[in-house]
Amino acid sequence: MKTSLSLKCKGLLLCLFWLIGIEHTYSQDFNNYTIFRPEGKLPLSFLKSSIQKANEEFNKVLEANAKQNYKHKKKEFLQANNFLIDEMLLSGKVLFNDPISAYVNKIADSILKDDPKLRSQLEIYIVKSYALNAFTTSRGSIFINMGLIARMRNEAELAYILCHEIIHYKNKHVLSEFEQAENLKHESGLYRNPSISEQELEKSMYSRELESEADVQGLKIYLRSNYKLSELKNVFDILQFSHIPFANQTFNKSLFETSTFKLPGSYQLKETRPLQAQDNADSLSSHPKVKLRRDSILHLIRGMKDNNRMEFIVSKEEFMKVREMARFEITQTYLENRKYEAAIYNCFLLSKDHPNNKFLETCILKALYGLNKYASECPFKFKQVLEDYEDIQGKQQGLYFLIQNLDAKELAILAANYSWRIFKKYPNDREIKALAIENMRIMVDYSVSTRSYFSAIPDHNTNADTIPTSISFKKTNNLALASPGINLLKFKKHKIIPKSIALDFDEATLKPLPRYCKFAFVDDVNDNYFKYIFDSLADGKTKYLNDQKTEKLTTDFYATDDWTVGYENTHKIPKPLGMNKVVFVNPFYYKVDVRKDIFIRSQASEEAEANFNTTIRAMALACGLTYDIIDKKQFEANEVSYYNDMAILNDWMEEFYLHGTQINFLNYKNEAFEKIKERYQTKYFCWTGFMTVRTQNIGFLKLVASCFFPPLIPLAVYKTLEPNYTTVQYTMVLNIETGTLEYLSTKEYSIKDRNDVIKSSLFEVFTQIKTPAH
Amino acid sequence: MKLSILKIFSKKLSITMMVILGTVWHASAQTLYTGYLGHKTIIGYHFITGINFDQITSGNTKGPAFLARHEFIMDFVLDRDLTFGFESSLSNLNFSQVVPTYIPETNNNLSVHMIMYGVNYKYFITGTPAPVGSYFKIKGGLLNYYYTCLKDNIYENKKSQLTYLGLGYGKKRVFYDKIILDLGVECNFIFGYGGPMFPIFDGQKNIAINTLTESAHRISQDCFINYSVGIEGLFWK
Repeated sequence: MKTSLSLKCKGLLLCLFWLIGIEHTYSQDFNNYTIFRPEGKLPLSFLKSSIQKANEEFNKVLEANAKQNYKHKKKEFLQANNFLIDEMLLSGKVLFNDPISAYVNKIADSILKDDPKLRSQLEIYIVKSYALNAFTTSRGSIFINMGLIARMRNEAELAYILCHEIIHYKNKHVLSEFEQAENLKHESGLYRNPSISEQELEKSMYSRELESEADVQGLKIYLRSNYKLSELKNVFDILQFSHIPFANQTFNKSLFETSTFKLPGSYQLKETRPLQAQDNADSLSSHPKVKLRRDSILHLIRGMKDNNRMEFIVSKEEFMKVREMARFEITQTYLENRKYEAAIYNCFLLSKDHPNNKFLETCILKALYGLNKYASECPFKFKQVLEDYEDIQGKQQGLYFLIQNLDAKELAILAANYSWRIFKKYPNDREIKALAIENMRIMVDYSVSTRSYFSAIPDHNTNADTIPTSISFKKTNNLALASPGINLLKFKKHKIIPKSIALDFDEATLKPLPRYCKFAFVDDVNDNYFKYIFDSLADGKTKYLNDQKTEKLTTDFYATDDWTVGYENTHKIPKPLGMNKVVFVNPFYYKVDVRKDIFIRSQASEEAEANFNTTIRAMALACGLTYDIIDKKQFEANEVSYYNDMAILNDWMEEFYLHGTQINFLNYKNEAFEKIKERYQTKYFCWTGFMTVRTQNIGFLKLVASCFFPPLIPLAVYKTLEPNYTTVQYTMVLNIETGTLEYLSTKEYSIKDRNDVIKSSLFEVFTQIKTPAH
Repeated sequence: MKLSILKIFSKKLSITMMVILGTVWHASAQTLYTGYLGHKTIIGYHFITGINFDQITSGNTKGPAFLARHEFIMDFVLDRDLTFGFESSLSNLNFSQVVPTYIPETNNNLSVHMIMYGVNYKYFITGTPAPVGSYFKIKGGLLNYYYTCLKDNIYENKKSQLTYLGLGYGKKRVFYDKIILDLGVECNFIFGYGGPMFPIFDGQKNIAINTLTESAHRISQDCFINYSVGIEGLFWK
């Protein structure tokens, strides 16, 4: 009896643990959504070196067939392939131990339940990317982008994608393609000496053959499962409409409106462009036309019936949750890639099912901040982030039309209005507060700097579009009425007024803001806190901002992206930076030989990278610089927290890099960064690395030239035999507290990456970093 | 008159050196440029050998001439890609005298000592912080000859002074963070118009005494291509 009770208790406890586990895995609360970060332990494939993986893979290839063609080259290819895959695997963009990959793995289990051996060779990962893509590597890693999962309508569609990718692995398509390329290069004969373009054409033809093979043989695996056949057509539909979001709903400008702040009706696009399938496979494309693929699959399943076949085998509920999660996650990737309008539309679509969702509202706020920042402070780059609405298809076009129609000053008011609303809704959220104040600052600096401009009484005039109202501008910015967001004072100062801007200037001084802008803050204009913030900003007081540890950033209108920061501008004299501790994130080392077909020297790169960490340590010690290293290749299985830190920092750095040095973005990841700052006890994070490139030596010409002056022959012989190298060192130091770039340099050396060169270069940079500022 | 010109030149050189030394001190005190891991001073020895394929020099009709020279250098890192240095070299050559014009027979057991001292600037062209990588060098200084020769069957000790200007190219590589291997090639132009008589040697232990003007012209037009290999040490942070 006692034993049975004990057993029951144990069973109950196990059930509880199981339930807690389930709850933990799928407990993502969409109302308080946070970006997913992996937990638990790092997978084994994250811990092995690329060379080890490549060698294991090569041995398997040899086991299968000892008489391999191009044996040596194949080994090199596998090494390079594994090296590049690992670069992506360890970039922080790949998820593991997450609900999405867990779910996709369950689908793979279900598809391959009859082939456990093949299943055991496969690893499935989810990539944080909005793009619709999936790919397979030669070692059996299948990568599926979140953007693809976000677009799926059911489990069956996802299952077919998996079947297709499994065939790529099973039939070793990656190696086949390599072999085909080698065969083409070595083909000879009277009528065979293909040119490079012919080789490319043949390669792409072969690649298309392999895709068709994966489609057809993938179908065989699919047919063995119990998934619905009728869903296959939809998979190809998704591929044909990969350029549109997951739903096609009319964008409603009311997203940016309040009861008193109404955008003019003319800003709403009356008719949107219909959706058109994209199927632009040309002769050099690696994939056949989607239409042909669909037709061939539909032909194969003609006559087959969906008896007892299902859309969902694993779980419909789980699919819905996972897909929703992917849709939430891709918003972040849109933002990081400066696809601000796409991010807003994605949030707009999601907000239908998740009204008043803080995560979505914050993402919209961030997207508006991005647009606002570019439009006002960096108008020359605005085109980089703005998509032409005429190129957009579907009902999302309305949003693109609206954004494109807004003047930068109107956009500043709209962003400030939306920010203020969200700030009032979540007054204790520091991230939202910082963004709201930044949007307000942009409005005050570049649009409206007098609080009295805003009306406290709602507008009763129905003809709001046409009646202009006068506005007053801050004295320093009174010429800022010109082209959107352009501070003309800087033009005047430099006595250079481009013709186009000069025309805008004359036009713009006469052009007031549309009347509707006056009613942006009807409910707030007399609010004490609003008054305080607005007036502080308008008076140019930065005290409040400094208190919030955000900087009032100025942008030099004339500055182009100068990729050297940390130097005196006049003569590029290095400035001492005075940093006591720096964390090196992912130090990298690439060795490249452009004379070879496989130009990445993966084994040498990996070995050099390991030595590079030792050199960094030695040089930091020599300079007295305190340091930490977050190295993707040195993680232990239980160091997931370091992996997450690396992922956060890398994402931010990449976003920063896209913005360039001309525009200073507010660091709105403060919460995550504060934890990182606390953990590493520094606010300075450094990305550094070397790349060395070996190129063709043309020393023979020197030898010929030296014949005219024989004493120089020995020197010419040396120069002829000496390999030609270029070594580049890249260093970037970011301050995660202020979000500013503290140091950036790219040093190019026309010399081999010898130990003394690396040491000398690192020592120089570290000395600059460590030396106290004057 | 000629000696006074040399004295003036020496004074100028001294002043120039003082200015340069001041620059070195100032540069080492102020700049962020680190040299090699903080080491900014280099002291070293170079073995220099010259080849002359020009058989007309000194009237020698035999094969190519070789000359060995021992050079001591002291360099300071002035800037990120610039060093300034002092150099002093010594060469000793025993020779036999052949003066066909005046004395038909050969005289043995004669010798010439050559002492060069001067300054140089090395500009590192590879983009690496000095003193690592390839460099171009410009150098200048004084060249003293101390030699014995036979005149009227009497051995005479003579001294003469010339100026030289050189251009060079080389590579430096650091081992064990302390030792530098330097390989280079240089070419010296010697100016001695109006100076005292000096011997011209070709490394084949033959020497010819020509007229003053002829000798000066011969040397100035004739540039030796010198190859050097050096071992240097890094000192003082």
